Amino acid sequence: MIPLSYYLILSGILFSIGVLGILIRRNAIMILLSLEIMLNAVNLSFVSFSRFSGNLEGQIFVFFIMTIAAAEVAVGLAILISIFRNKKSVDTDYMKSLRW
Amino acid sequence: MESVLFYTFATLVVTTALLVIFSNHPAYSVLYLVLTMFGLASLYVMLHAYFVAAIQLMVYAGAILVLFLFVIMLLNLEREGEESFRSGPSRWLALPLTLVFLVELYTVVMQIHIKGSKGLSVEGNTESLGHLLFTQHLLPFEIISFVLLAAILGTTILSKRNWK
Amino acid sequence: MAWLILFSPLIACLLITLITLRNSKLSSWIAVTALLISLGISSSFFLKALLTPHWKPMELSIHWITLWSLKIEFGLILDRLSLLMLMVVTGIGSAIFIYSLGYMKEDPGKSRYFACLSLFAFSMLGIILSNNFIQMFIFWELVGASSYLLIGFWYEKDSAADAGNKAFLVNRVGDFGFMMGILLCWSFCGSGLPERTFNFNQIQHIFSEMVGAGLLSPKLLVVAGLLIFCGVLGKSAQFPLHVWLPDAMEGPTPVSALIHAATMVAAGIYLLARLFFLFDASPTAMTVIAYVGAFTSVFAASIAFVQNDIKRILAYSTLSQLGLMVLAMGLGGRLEAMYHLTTHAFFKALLFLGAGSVIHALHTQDIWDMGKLFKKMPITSITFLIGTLALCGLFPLSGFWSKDEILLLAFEKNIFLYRLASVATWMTSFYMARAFFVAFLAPEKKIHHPVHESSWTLTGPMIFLAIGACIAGFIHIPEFILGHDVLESHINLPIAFTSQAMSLSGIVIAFFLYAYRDAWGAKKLKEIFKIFHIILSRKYFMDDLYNGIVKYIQQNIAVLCHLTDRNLIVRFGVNGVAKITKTSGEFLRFCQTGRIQTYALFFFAGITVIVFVFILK
Repeated sequence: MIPLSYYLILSGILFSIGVLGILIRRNAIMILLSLEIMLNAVNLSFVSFSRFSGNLEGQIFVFFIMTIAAAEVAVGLAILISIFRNKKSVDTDYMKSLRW
Repeated sequence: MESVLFYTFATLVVTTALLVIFSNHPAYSVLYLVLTMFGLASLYVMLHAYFVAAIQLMVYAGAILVLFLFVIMLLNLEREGEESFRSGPSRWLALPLTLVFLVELYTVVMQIHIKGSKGLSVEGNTESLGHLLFTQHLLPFEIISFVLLAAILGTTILSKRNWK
Repeated sequence: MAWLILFSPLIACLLITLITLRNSKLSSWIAVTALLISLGISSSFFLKALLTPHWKPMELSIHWITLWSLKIEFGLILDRLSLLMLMVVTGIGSAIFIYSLGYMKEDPGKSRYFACLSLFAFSMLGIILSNNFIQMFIFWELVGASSYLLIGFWYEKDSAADAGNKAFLVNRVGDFGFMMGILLCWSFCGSGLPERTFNFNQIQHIFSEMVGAGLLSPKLLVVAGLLIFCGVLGKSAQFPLHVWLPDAMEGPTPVSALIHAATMVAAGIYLLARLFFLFDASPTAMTVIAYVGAFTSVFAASIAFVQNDIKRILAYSTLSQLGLMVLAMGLGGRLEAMYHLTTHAFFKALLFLGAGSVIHALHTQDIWDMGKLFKKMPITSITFLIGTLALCGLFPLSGFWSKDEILLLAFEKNIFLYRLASVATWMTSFYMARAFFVAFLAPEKKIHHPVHESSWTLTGPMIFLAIGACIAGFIHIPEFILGHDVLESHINLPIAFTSQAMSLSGIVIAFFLYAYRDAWGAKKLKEIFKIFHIILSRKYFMDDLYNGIVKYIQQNIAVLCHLTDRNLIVRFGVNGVAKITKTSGEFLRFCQTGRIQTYALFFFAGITVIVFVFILK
């Protein structure tokens, strides 16, 4: 049987890849995709914890996280579209009106 | 046999995730992400989380990623090339920082000892999860429906032109 | 009832400033009524004390501030001493308030004038009635402040505004010493007791015990006494802090009469009398006080010789008389000093009011511009004459009795000081006679518009004070203060005759020099004593000396302080902090790129560090 730590390390690697994606990409769609990777990394650790501690609460959690992720993607993409309408681009370099 | 499957799917997941963040066109990224989702779903099956594996495929691969594809089509983005990556210090800081973070995570994980009931096999099938959802977690379940409703309304309002 | 003595002028002041400022007539009557109420209540207490055989002093007080072991009261002390002062202040104050009704009739600032006057009355009564150091110091400062307001009453005149500032600043010097004295006194009084006190009676009690037990070193007593005496130097305008009083004559004449002749400047004497136990314990301090008084007395009188401004002559005369009182205090004559204070208050207020009446009629203060006023202003002239003679100390007017007591005391204690005081007496009669003859008898030099006698509001108070100046000497003040008869008879015929001879000779010399002669004597004298004239008319260069000190020493120190402040404190301290903040802000603002990813990077870096820290633990 594969030990818990293997799954957790896999989840950590996935999470780091997500973070890296967020930090280095300029395209807002790519950032949203990286966010999905991070969420899935967390889901993986939840499921493996659930498996190794012998109850289903973790999987219930994953269920809720997926729901929130769906909602988040929907709203995020809607925001992206309105930004694109205004700026004609989804490049984050153009999204800096919060600057001094 | 089990470890062979684990390493196969783990390699798949990590490789496709890396391809997601390093590919030049968002459409490719989305397609790689579908593969990642498949890999993850397989891992869920290995963890006896059948229901989660199923909705992983349905919700992620079936709904969310299709949504991404639609938006990409809608925006009709050009192929971006080298400038699709960040320039400047954040690019060079990001990778070492991530590696440090990984090492830290590894250290933490190595210190975890879960005394789980390994003999007790919990089966994450639809019946047992459905039972839990509609008894113990009924209130969060109802609340999450309101969250979805809010998301629907928000999306509608945001995507509508010239909303007054 | 007793509280009303103190607070009725304050109520009047508040009413005037808050409500009736527009209606000057109503304001003035409110002020007069309030002071008359105080006068009425004080008189009832005074009569009770006078007529009841075994009258006990009263003390009313409330706890005002309590800080751990430090308790400060707000109280009234009603003993014979304070009752006497109350009568002087409210009695003469009432006369002068009524006089002001006429004197300030046309002035646009009449309401303000009466508000300030009421404030002054409140503060002065506060000094008299205080039963502890802190309260007295507060009222002491309030008196200074109201004096400042009244000296600078015609603030549009530069000289008046300057005089106000000068008075205030000079008093500050004295008051600083006074405050140090209070603190010193507080620190050694009851250092072993659970509760320290500022209360006069308790301090006196503790003090006598400590002195009796020999717990206090003589040096400490000298320092404490002299520090408190500094307050007297300032308020009673003794040398070397006398310079403000002559300039204070820039204020309206009734103010000069009330504040700078009869009452406020007497506050210093009252303080000496109130704290007499403190000074009495230290012979050195007493000697210093006596010499300061005697010196001021002669010093000021000599300056008065050459003054041409009638109010300034009176101001220097006030200095001189205050010097005599301080001298008496220094020689241990508390009763004599208070006696002279009372009589002096009457005749000096009278003289000022007379001068005010003349000024009101002629619109000049120069005695050489006056002349032949006797026929035109008979009441003013006669009352002024009475005041002059009383000041000269001629029998049987009030000045004779009190001055004689002081001379007798000096004769018994210190023959040198007696001689100085006698010289001062002679000088007083000379310059007062000079002022009187030149202003009222000599031929007029300038033709003025027709001069009339002043109205009843001016003459009435003058007549009242003239009567007071005549009979105040017959009220035996020392016996009143003591509460029983003085054992020994205080008439020493040789001394009395000597002083009479001195005074008369001064008057006669002045008569030949100044009366009926067209300033001939003055010119002659000026030529003969040219150097002295210059020295005297420059007031012994005291003002120049102070100017020099301010200009060369204080100014340089101020410049140094200014430079230190500008270059060290402001540049590196205040602006330095601001500059560091600003510069670091300039750099830090590059962190705020407006890109969320940059923030995410920082956020992630932060988390990495936090996790690292947790792992290390």
